[in-house]
Amino acid sequence: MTHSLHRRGTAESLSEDYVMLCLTAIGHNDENHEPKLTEFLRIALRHDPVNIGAISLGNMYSNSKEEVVDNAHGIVHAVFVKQDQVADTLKDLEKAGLGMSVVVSGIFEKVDECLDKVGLKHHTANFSLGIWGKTEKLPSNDILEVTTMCGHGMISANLVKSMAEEVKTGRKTADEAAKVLAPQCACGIFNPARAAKLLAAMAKK
Amino acid sequence: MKIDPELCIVCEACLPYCPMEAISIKDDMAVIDDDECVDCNVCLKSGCCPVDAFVFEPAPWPRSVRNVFSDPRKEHKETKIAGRGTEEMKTNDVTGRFQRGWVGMGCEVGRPGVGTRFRDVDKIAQALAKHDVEFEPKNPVTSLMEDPKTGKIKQDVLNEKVLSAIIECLYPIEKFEEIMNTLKEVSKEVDTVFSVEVINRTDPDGSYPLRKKLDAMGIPYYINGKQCVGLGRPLAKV
Amino acid sequence: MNGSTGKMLRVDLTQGKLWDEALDEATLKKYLGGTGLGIKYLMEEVDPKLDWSDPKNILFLGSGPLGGSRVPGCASISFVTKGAMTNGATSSQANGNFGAYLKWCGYDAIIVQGVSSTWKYLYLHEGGAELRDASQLVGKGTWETEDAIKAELGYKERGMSVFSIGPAGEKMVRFAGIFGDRGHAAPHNGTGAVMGLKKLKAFAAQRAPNKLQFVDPQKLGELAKKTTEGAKAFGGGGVFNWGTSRVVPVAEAAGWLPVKNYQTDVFPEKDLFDGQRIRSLFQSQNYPCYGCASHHYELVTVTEGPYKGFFGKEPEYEQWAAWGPQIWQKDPGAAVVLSNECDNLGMDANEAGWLVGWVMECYEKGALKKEDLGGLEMTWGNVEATRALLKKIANREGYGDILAEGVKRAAEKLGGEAVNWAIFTGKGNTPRGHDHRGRWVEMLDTVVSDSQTLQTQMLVMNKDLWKMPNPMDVFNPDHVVQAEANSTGSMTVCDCLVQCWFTSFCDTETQTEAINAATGWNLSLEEVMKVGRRVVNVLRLYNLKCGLTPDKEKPSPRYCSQPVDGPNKDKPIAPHWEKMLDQYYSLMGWDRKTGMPLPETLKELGIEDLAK
Repeated sequence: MTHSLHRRGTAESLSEDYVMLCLTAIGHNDENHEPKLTEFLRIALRHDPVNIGAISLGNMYSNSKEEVVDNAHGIVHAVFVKQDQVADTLKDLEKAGLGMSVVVSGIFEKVDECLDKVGLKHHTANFSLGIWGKTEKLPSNDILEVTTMCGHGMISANLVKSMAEEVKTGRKTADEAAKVLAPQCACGIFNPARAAKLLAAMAKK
Repeated sequence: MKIDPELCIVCEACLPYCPMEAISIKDDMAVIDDDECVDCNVCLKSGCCPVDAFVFEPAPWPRSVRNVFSDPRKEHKETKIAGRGTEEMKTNDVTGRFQRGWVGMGCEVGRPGVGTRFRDVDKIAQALAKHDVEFEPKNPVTSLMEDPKTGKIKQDVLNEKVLSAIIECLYPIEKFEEIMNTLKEVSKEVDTVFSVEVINRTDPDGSYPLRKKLDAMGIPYYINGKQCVGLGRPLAKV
Repeated sequence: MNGSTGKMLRVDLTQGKLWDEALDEATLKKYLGGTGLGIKYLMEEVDPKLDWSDPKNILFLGSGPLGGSRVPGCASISFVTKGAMTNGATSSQANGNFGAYLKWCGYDAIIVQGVSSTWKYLYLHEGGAELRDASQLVGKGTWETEDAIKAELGYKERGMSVFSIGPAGEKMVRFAGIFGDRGHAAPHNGTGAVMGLKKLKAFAAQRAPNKLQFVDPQKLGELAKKTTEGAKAFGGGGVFNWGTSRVVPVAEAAGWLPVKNYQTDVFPEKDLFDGQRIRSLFQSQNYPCYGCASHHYELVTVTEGPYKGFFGKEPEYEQWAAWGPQIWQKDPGAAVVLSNECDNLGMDANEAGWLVGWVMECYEKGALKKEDLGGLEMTWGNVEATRALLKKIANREGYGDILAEGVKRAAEKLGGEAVNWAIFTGKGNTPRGHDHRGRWVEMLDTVVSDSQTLQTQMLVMNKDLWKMPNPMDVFNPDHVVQAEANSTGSMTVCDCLVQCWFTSFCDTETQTEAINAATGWNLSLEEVMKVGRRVVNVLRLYNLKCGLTPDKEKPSPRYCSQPVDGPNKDKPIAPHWEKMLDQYYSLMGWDRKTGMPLPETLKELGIEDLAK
């Protein structure tokens, strides 16, 4: 799945947006893998993620953190805003030796800095060549920066527009508006902290 | 997805939630355009309806593909994976699927946010098939192909609409340029958008040959991307 | 007809007969519907000299031309009758779904006359209407009654709208009300007592398919959107998003939260009752009326405190006020319990709040003792004792029988200083749940109101249209009178349509467009505004004949006393009162001595014939 790959944004905005995935390789190490994914989430939670998710259940905005942890299966996610939170999580993961594959999504240079810090080496990369085809059908770029944070397309452009309007009129704070969007992203790779900043910027226009 | 006309209170709370803009008000009732609806269940799961008027009954084939592709919580029967794609590069440290000298590619048709009918997936898949690419066997789009050698998608799903569908394939890095040109051509023929991703195993010195190629060819790529960090066990020999 | 069904249902309980009556367009254009239509029939059919408890009293309930359309807030219903507290005309509106469902069953309105020999409820459905045996419902609370009727007739939760009386209505408690759709209320001036008198337990309407004809449905759709946008924007969207509970701390700061029976204006625990806090603390579930997108009305489960686990309706501001600060009670969970129990017993929360507060003050000061109250220790904030007392009142047990007469009569019966502690008006109608010593427009409105409930209010969408002072100094007597007199009619238009004030905010311009898009009547804005004023004057004519003369238009001593603390302690209303009334009458075009609308006023409104 590529859903955390095609996140759009400026370098500044993306420098506060890191997604970590942990998953089992079916047919290789999937027997009794759930406790390992549970442990990944517990490790991640030590470092103050802005979202965690388990696709079979939801994320920490549609459910509670404990429920997410208890429902780890297949693939789980954690989202961070600070580079050193990623490095610290990687450090703990390395120590824990869970044996599950870990993927980090973010600005390449910044992720590599984390890997260097911890003594890990990147293995395989996935590059996004962007959006092709009838691009005139796309909504505006500022809406895309929010919607592309949900790779499964669960967050509608109209919902983002209406939340920006709520922030603009002062009926909701940017945080409150982001929290209306967050539960729609079923697997939990949505970054509500980044979304709040993007919505606030949209509201100013 | 349907809205129960005996429950709907025409409050319009649901309208902005639909990623496909399939909900509208007709004759004092909220109604869903069946053909535009992809059965993703975002409306129902959001809890936005104060009277629980959304009713979902799984549809038979071929419409069943809409829900399976569009609702990420649904596991595909073939791959036992929920979501649209496969493990792909995420577990490459264990599976060794992408070896040095090869490029993995994904075209997620309909993403972001536009949606696609399978006829556009068919166009792109057939165009790629002409380069003898290896379509990923565990991928649900591959399982919809009449023949992975041609990339032709089964006739009866061509009109079905989904939030997105990912074509995953593999080819030697030498074919990269010609495939890029094909994608540029087919890009003009489709009625939707598609997001393109390319996967590459790092060389022993830590560099990505594909990245060097992209730089040399002047093909832009995002500053952000995904990297598998090699913590999976047992390690594959790649 | 477009918009209207053209039909009213007559129910004669004495004979057990039902029949249809045609409505003529000219009448509807003159009165629109709802309260307007109701007072026309009350005027024509109920001799003002009769006591409210006379079998010849009628109970009118009606929707208006927009009822059953998708314009937000128009599913409301207006009840009009000769009320038990004042013995004069009353009009009380309930939100919820009944107005829409009534119209979809094929009727604009219902008039209930006579008295049944056995308990009945009225069932309306696609095919018509019928009276059904209600003996198994007697004694049930209003929520229970809803559940029981839906179960009996096989309807799901929102497949039917039920409005009923509780035990208080059955026992004809003077301030018993009519409640439905999970706690929406038409509680004022003893509407429930009238139903109890008639042995009518409930109205139940099926959600039938909508077959109403409107002239321009597309325009109505646009106006529905406009109304929602207006409601979202009004007052920063506070009510739209959080309901009226948001207002408690605001009220305290401005000095119009009623605290300890007006003994003080300071309530330190105000923030505990803040709406936003309640919504995040308690489990809330949105429960909107047909057509409405707001988050005003919710159901709630208490999540902390001794009443944890209690499920019911989230109290409105007025109920937070009554069951929190007014009785000096600090636990919001307990306020949820009292609010719901009062609703289910079927009593008006405003009157019940003033009553219980007064009892607590009497207890504090020794005017009422434990023995008088059947052993209840009515100390300030005693929740369990209040629960027990409310049951006693609803069932007219012991001292509850005297209290069931309302605080004015109970205080006058007790006599002595206790009369000076009670909050009431000379006419007998009940002030709403605020400290009106900090809300002068509303004190004036309450005392002069001929609908016997809120007649007009400062919060109007277009202040200039209704010639209200803008900006307004709420403690300037001239501004107060102008605001009240000039905006008279604005809210009445809502009451005639019948449209919830929290969606329309008296946006008369949009309302006029909507009326015309629904009916094709082509009324001008001025004509619609005039309907509002007309109906107020018809109510006044009727009430004067009932004996509700100007000498009765005064607040009780405690009601208009000077606050001893808080932001308004230096602003007594009493010195200005007489002059304000003089000015008000003048602006309204009424004779100061007799209270009668002057001939030119009657002529302008086309109701000279009603004055005879």
